[in-house]
Amino acid sequence: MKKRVLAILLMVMVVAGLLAGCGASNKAGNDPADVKKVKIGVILYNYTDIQGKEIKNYCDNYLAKEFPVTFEYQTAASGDNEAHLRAVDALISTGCNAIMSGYDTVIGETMEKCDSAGVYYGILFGEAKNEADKDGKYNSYGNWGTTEQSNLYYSDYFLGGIYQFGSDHGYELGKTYGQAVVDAGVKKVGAISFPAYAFSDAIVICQGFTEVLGQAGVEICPDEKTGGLPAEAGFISVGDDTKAYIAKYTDMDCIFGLSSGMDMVLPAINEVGRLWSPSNTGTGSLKLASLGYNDSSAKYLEDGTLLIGGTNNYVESVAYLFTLMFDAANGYNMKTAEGSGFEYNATINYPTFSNMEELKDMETYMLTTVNNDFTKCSVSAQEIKSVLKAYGGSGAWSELSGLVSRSVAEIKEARQ
Amino acid sequence: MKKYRSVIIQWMGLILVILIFGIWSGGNLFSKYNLNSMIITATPLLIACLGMSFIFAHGGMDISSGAVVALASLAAVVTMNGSGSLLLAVIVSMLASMACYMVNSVITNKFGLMATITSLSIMFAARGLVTYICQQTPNESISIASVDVTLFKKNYSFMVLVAVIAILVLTVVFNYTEIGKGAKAIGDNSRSAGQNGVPVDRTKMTCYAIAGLCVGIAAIFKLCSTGMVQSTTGTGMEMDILVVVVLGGMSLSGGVSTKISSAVVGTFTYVFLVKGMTIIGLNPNIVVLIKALIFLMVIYITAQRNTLKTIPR
Repeated sequence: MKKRVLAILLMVMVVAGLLAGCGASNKAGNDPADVKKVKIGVILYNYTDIQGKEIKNYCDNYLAKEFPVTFEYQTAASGDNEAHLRAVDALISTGCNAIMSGYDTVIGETMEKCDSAGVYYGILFGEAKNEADKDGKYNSYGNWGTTEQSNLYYSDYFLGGIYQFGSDHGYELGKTYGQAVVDAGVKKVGAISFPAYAFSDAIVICQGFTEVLGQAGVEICPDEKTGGLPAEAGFISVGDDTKAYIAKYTDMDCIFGLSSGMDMVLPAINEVGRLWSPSNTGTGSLKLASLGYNDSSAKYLEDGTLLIGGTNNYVESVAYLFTLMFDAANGYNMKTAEGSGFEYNATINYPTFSNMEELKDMETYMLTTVNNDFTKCSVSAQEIKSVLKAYGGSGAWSELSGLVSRSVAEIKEARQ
Repeated sequence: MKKYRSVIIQWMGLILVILIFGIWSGGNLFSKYNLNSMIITATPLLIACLGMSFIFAHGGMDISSGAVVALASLAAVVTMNGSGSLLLAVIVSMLASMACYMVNSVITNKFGLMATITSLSIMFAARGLVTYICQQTPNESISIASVDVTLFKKNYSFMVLVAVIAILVLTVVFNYTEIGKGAKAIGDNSRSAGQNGVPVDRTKMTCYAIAGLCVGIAAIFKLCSTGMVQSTTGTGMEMDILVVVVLGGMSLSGGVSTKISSAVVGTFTYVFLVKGMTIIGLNPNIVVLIKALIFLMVIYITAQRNTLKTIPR
């Protein structure tokens, strides 16, 4: 008897002890008296890579200090739809008014939960396409599911998504990468990416990429199944799949890493000893074009291993959804407001860098964890307030869209 | 009164959890959304735990339930999309799950392999098959197409009804039939149970069949709540079941002290505990850590108790 009572007491103590460290403070600042405190949930794959760190930093250390808002975070492993739905459920349970997610899958199932709970939902890095055709058919990736779920596309609570590679799905971006590779004088190029259902834009990016290569007479290393680029890698097997791919092409001298080029593709090349460096320039040594950035980008760019890199402007993406969600939670839903000009997707900028100056500018005006100076960040609180109805702003979607699609050069100009 | 002391303690634990998190969350624990969400979580878990109680009662062990849920869901969604029949899909799900558990039972009982090892093999086989099939599809998942699954997905009254029926039927089977009584006798002492006329092998197989049936039903609820099957479907469910039953005070060594009510009180305690911790904003990783700590703690207490009271085998 005593032991059972002890077990229950211990359980309660463990829970209570762990909970003791919880709790968050929120500083509302000089907000208009009638602005409601908002709680926004965020779902990402992790908060340890540049994307996760940037988003968390901008939310917690900037937005939460400038606005009456708190952020709750949940993690869902890549490709795990069940985990994503659990995360959505958890965030709704904690009382979030809105949820922004890095996932663009299981939107139908997610919206069923959000719609029933009156919680706004938006996609951070993916477009809100509705190829469910609005007639109930499946889209090519099954993201919207049944007819009933497809109708939730029109729910007041679905706030859309983002073209992270432009409204052309990255065709022009692919050409930019292709040109950088051609300019470097490489002869045989491969490309590797995540599964198509999870990163469909990779196919379009590679179309632009190969067009430029084709015009310049650069040979490609095609995927066995598709006969073109990119080769497909699994979520958790990018490293192994990269090694297998480059093992097939011993004379490949450059690879375009779309599956997190710096974090996953580069280490795999390095592990098999084929990474180009000033001391490893022989046949089969590989230079890299990277869709992605990390803190070693400068080093590899400087020594010539990295030909071109780039990354999403995370701040622009978060600022866009934050603005929609904050106003919606405060009673002004841009989606339904007459004359707001709402569209389902905004286009954020995807900056690339192929020299140190471009990289420096990107780090200064885009990456808040690198420059540690929010006065130079891509979208300032003042700019957001100029759109927010809650702060007497315009409430115009076109203004918001313009604000979150600026290039690094435009942001730099605005900050000087 | 002494007889019911352990049961009272378990229910008191549940009430304590509800009270603590009910107050801590400022009543948010009882919001309509959260109550519905807990029904969705609890229904498949409860049904699976009720079935698994029969395996634990005879001293068996199973860690394949998550993978079996995935396989049964896969069989169900393929049937559903092919035939357009929800009823047929439910039947196929139950049959697929029962088949897995029967294989488990036969290998364990006929060939004398440890139950944990057999269920580990079933787990890998089922998970591997689901992963392989899902990888052949463009989305690496198979979604429910045009069948209306509202009944299993959003009809909370139906979920509660199914759970209540499962509790009533399985409680009767567990406490008042030869199957349940035999399983507990085997759990205490397999040899003496056999010598006293309990058909040991047949009873064990029936217990596995009941568990399979229940896991198959649980799979349908899980499938309908997510709308699809993928390689990760059901991941972690086996651990959830173990945490639930030990939280409910069930002895994993089986025997006459095994109570099916442990599955009921354990499920509710677990669901309220996890939801409560989530609502108050506890880091999800801490929630997992707490689950593990609770599991270890209860196992420790249970083991101590069994050391003192176990019947010689």
